[in-house]
Amino acid sequence: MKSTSAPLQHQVYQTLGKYLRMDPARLRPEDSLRDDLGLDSLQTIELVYEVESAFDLQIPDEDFGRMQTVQDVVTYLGERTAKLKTVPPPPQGKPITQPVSNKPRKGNSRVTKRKIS
Amino acid sequence: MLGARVVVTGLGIVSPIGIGIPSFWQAALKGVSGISAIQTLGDFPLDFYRSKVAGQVFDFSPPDPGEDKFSSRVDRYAQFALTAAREAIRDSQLDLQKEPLERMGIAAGVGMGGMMMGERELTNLYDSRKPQRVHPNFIPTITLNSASGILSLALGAKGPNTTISTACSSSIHAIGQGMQMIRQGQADVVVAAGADASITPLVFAGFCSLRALSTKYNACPSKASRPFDRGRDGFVMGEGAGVLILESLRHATRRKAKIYAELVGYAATSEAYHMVIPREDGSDIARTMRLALKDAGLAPKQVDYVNAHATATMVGDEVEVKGLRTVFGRRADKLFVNATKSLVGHTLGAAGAIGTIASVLSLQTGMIHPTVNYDDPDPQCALPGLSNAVQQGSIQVALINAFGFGSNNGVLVLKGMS
Repeated sequence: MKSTSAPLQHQVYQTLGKYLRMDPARLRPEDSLRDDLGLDSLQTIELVYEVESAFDLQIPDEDFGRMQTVQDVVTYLGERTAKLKTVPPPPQGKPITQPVSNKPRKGNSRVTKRKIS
Repeated sequence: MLGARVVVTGLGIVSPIGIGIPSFWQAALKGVSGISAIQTLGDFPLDFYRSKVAGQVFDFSPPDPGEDKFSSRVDRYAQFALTAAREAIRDSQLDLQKEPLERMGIAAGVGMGGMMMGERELTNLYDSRKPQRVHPNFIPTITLNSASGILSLALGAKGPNTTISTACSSSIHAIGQGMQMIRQGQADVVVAAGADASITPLVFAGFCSLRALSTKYNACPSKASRPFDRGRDGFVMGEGAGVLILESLRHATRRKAKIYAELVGYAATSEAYHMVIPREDGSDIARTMRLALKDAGLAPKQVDYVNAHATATMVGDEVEVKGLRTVFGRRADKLFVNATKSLVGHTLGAAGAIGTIASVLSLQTGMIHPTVNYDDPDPQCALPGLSNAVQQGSIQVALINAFGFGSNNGVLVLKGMS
């Protein structure tokens, strides 16, 4: 959290909440994208797509491993946007493409970390 | 086994390593990579594409409209199919003037179809806002059966005319369904095709966004497609077409045709699991291989060679080997295995047909083409029968795998004629 600004964190939570169709206030920093939020690899890719759009940057494949939890996403974007020296403005009501997760927060038995076939 | 026995009597191909069977096979045995820096997007800027390599077909001359009336009006993929089909018919020495064409069917496998024209017309419409400017041939071109349609027109085939679109496994199912047509007596001859040519700005962007493509080897394209290698990082898109002439054994024998191989088994299953992810224990892949062998009346111990689906994604290759080990046990270490996608990339709807052609040629020649870039075997999916060099052996039975988005699997079994 050390270098992450509050507006950036807010924006990340808003983006995640919108994609996950859940109240951002229910997201916890330690929530695992896979185990707690139930995202499989394709859903993670979709989420990263939304984050890329919201923050106007490209995230390379090799950085996916750094984003395991909600806080990881905030930290990662904090570093990336710090390199850009400015935090971009919040998204201008751009529609989220495909909301996916209506899964419970816990106990998802079909969680997978598989990548594309 | 049901009904008539089915044999392969003709082959044709358009691929990134050769147009025509002789040049394809020669390049395949040499381990020539058909992967190169992308050029097919024309003047569309490549800068923001994560992947910049593909298996592209160069030096392709579209079919002569004088010979094939509508060929200039179909998309590139269907032209590929037509060129490959003409070669396959020539190779089979079928005399179309004498054949009862009501008994000749078409089964085409197509993943993406006429996306070149599709993208062009979409752009035209959205830019101009003039619906009257959408080309009249847009719909006949964009429908996924435009290849099977043009094949039936060109050859005069008046039997069943069908298209199967099951993503990456399309043409395995097309060949399998073509085989069923003959088994069930609906046709004596089936032109079984697979074709795709969709390295277009939109489709290529889509696969990039799906994070399915290799991105690490943009500077050295020939290294990018590396199934089963530790350094693999996704598949490389390809384009092409493969065509096989399937025929009832009786029909082929009666006309004294050259017979390459017998198509003895086919199975199709669904994993009912995930749109793009295979079931990780490989159990459904194994089940499909077992069903295909059962259909063929063969036991796993009789299989000598597997043409793997092997797209070079981290997980896909691993899961396929798990499936192979489940079916073959210790025999998995004795099988010859290769990945045709290492040479040509993933040609989507054409992939199954091109893999089947490679298998037919291996049965015939006893030569197994290299899996290029298999330089550093990944312990998670290493098999002794994989090699980056050409292999030679006695092969009587070959198994061809294909797995597609939408949770579907297809497996074919071929048997040599000796």
